[in-house]
Amino acid sequence: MPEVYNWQLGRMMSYPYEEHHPRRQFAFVFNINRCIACQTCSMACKSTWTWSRGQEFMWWNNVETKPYGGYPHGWDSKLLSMLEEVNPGGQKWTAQDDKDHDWPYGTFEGMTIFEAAERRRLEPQSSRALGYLPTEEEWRAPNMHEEVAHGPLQGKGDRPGSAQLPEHRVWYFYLQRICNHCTYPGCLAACPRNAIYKRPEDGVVLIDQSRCRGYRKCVEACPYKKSMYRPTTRTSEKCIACYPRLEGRDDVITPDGTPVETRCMSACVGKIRMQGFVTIDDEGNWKAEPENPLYYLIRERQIALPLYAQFGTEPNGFYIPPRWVPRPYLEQMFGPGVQHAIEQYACPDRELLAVLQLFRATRNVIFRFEVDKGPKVAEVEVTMPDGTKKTQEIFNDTARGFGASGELVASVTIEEPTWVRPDEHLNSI
Amino acid sequence: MPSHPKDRPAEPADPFQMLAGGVEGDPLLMLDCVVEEYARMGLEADEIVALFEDPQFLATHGLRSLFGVEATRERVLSVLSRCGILRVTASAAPPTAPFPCKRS
Repeated sequence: MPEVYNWQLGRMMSYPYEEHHPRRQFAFVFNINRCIACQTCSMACKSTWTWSRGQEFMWWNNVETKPYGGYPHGWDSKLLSMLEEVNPGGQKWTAQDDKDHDWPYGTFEGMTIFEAAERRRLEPQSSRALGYLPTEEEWRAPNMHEEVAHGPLQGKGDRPGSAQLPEHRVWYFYLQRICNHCTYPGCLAACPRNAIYKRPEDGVVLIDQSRCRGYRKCVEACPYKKSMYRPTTRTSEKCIACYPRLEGRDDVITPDGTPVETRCMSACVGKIRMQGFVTIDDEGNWKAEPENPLYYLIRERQIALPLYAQFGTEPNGFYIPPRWVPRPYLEQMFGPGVQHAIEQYACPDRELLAVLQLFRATRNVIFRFEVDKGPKVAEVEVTMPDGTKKTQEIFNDTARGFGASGELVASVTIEEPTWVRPDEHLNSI
Repeated sequence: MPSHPKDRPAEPADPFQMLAGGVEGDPLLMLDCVVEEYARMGLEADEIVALFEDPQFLATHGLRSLFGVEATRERVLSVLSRCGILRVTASAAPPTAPFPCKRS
């Protein structure tokens, strides 16, 4: 297999095709800390793209509960186990302290899904990535095993024959998932018909429905299980990144051609999502654009991390990890950059705080931001992940977001915070 | 064998069985973090408390069930008295087409 460079792994790796890169890449950041699983994103996507016959089980966007659930069930733990089986004890990172390198998370010393497939000499030869085909039962429900029956609080015996259902312990977090439009997609690598391609203009990964014959090699090889089979058409389908919206060709929403965010991003009530493009230079690297909010969050500040980078597909979805989750669990999921990301996010400096305000400030895609600095208006005590206290300074700064043509599309000004007095001190002034 | 299904031992082959394993974590830390997040978004105390009351939001409602109604409310107010509620004024470019609108 040819060798390609994977910046998330900090090394070259095997991939079935030569290295090619789009001019710019669709990418997104999800802030896990803010998601309470209202599922508005899931429904926005479902009602737009997957409401037809044969698509009943298709959730191009899903929100799953970790550590309990997954869609399809156990997708990540199964593949992690398979990789561990192929390379016992070797799936490890060498952490990188110096964040200025091209490989910000260190070096992954283990095996990717492509390398593991080579090691196992998978049969048939068309299996170019380690993977598995989920059973129909595993696709059956997006929330199976994740949550429990709910309703008004009732105790055992409140109704004749009623019982208390088993419940998970009450800490978990929600993981929002769409196709990562990977730089080295497992689905594309596995397709025996070359029906899957990556668009040169924005890096969106699509399945050519006229070429697809429904062999489901993509379903098997996608480590994130975001390629799905549709029995009524006997083809596979996947998230298309709402490309008519990205192109500004949705004449209902933006008749003037302005690029707008995808349906799932636009619908997000919790303002956890930001989506845009990063520019790829002639050598295939992310062009340094510190004024691009995505580049700023992912490469400059490194508070948003790729999901299971060790699979080796170089996903272009990034997550701000949740602060309350034990670190070993998060490190398996997001790599060795977790602690650094959480420390910065827990007590953001003025510029980072300003950029974070741009999440969902507009449905237009933000290509560039500026921060206008204002006077200090407050100091806030913040509890850091290690339990120590830190003072966060709040400034009257304004974050401005600019669209594709350089036009102002959003402006958010941070004001002086207000304080809630506990009940016992309500009238103590 | 215990009579009620909930008291019977787990059967891994049962596709409806709750099988996933837990990871040790601190629900109180989760509660504090969630409150801080929504305070950073500018939600009022009552709005944040309401997130814990709605049974549709299983994570926050579960925390309320775990700690109790009063204790949860007190904790929310306590966190807000420490971290404050971030205020922002925001403006966005007006939509280039009214929404909803009809195709011409």
